[in-house]
Amino acid sequence: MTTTTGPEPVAQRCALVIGYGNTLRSDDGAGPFVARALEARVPAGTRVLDAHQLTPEMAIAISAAARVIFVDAVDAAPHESAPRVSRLEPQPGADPLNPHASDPGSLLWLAKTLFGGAPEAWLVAIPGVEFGFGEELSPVAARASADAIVQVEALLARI
Amino acid sequence: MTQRIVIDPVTRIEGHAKISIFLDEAGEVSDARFHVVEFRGFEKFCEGRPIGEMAGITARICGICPISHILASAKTGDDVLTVEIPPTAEKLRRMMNLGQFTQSHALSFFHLSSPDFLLGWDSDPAARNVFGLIAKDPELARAGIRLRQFGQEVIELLGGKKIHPAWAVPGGVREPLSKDAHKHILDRLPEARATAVLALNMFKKMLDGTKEEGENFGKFRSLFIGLVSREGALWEHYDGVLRVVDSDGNILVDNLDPRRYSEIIGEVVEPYSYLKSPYYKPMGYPQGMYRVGPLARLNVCTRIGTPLADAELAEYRQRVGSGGIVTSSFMYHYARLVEIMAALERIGMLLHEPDILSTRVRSGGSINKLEGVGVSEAPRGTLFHHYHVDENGLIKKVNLIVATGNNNIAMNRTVKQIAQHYITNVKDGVIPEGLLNRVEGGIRCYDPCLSCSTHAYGQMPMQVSVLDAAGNVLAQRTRD
Repeated sequence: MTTTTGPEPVAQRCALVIGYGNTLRSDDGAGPFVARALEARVPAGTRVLDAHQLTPEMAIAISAAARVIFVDAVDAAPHESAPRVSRLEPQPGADPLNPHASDPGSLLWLAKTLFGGAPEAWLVAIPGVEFGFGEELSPVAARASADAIVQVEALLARI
Repeated sequence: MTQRIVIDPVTRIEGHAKISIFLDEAGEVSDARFHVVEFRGFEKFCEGRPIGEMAGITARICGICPISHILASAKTGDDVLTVEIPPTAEKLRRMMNLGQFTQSHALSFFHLSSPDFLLGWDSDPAARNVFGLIAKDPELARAGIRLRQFGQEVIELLGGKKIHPAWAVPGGVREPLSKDAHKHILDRLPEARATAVLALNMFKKMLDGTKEEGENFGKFRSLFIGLVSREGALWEHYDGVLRVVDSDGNILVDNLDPRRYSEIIGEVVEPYSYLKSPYYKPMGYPQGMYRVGPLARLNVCTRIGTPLADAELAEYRQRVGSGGIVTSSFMYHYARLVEIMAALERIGMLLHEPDILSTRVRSGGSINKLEGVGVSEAPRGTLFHHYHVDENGLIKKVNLIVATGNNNIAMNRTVKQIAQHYITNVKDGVIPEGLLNRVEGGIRCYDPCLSCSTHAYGQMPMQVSVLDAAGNVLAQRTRD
């Protein structure tokens, strides 16, 4: 049986952007919104995934990437309007095989444990204020998403 | 004093539920119930929607098996439009369903159930999970993820995305299969088949050590219902006719047009659960208990029709069914693995069909009937969609009988059987965790999808409770 157990050579590895969330839950769709906006703008060799949830098989793509940037919506703190950028480390906390529970840290852990490596990773968290049914972003999340696109591009240019 | 045990939440299933175990004055199990505590109501809020939207709407019932709803809904639309879809469209719909069987069964076996098999029913519950599984057998965990990935890729390459692709529509499918996608799936098939062999070998090696589970995890007489092919009664997952067999292999119903399902299936609602209790009408409720899903599909078919899966089916029947009908729900796990092999072989056959890359994949049509039925096999069992529409194609009435719902009576029976075997002479409501895990494990045999079967909204924890004769809770375990 052939399985991918080791990372690809660095020279062939690309950056990976994963924007995830539920596009039928208003601001929760900010991650996919950013991912779609980035698709036509990212440098060659960058892979962009637009996803409803984090799924375990993403660990395979993560292990093969040189670096990965997750983009997700979060509950805004009072008066918060700008996206937060933070470094991520592999963390076996949430169940990475359960898409309802998985999080970036646990996926990185899965990539490292089963598929040979976890690359440098960042989370770009977009503050949201409206998570009810709806396909539109709130003004707060829309502005933060525009900023997040710039932030992701800056990360891709820097790293 | 009569007592009651409640298991809440039942873990490692799709959705949330609770189990109540009732004890009599002697501390022996007198009854048990599986409660599904979610409610969503798709049957109601779909009213007024255009029939063309129904595949996309009902796909949202579930993130694990949206394809089942998309296909059953599209078939219902075909029936209302009275169109015959292009042959390539049917082949592509079949391929997507087989991709879903692969990913769903892989999730059930490798991720949800393997911790019990590999780590033991009585092992430390803190480690009896995916992390324990990965630590114990990383190769198996890795292979399981890659097999699930393969199934998801088949779905994504056909439908454009892994979850909720609005691809199958009344009259066919929106997009054909591309050459690149065809090559990718073909290239990955050998690895997927190797993983199926790995899992089958692992499970077969384990059989001797699981005789007690085989005898007590839902081993009882019941009916079995499923689709079989119109010619030869082969294993079927997308179309065909309904067949009903009993535990002796007698065929009670054969060649029944699935549109006539309501002639043989009745529905009862119990006050303790949002999950319907369908039953075989001629025998009444609850005597008309039947099972659907992998166990039933392998019981109703003559054979699968592909070489590797047929060899596995023959061995399966010999080893756990004395050459005939398999009656233990524990063998759902084994049946699931045989079906993975069947799905992979069938995908390979479809990829070699000469017209598989044809771009003629959708027929036109308009509202020609005011009622339609679409039936297909979901990973967990037979799925029925039944719509009434007006002249403009707006939905007037919906009835859904979802795979897990079909198994409701049998799941209750399974919980009771396991509880009666393992939980005896309870004093002070103290039940070892390993025994309660076996009760949960009985439910996991069916791989129930409660989000589907109740059209549930949100999530609830699972709970196991022990109650005395007066209804007092003596012991309770709750897991988020």
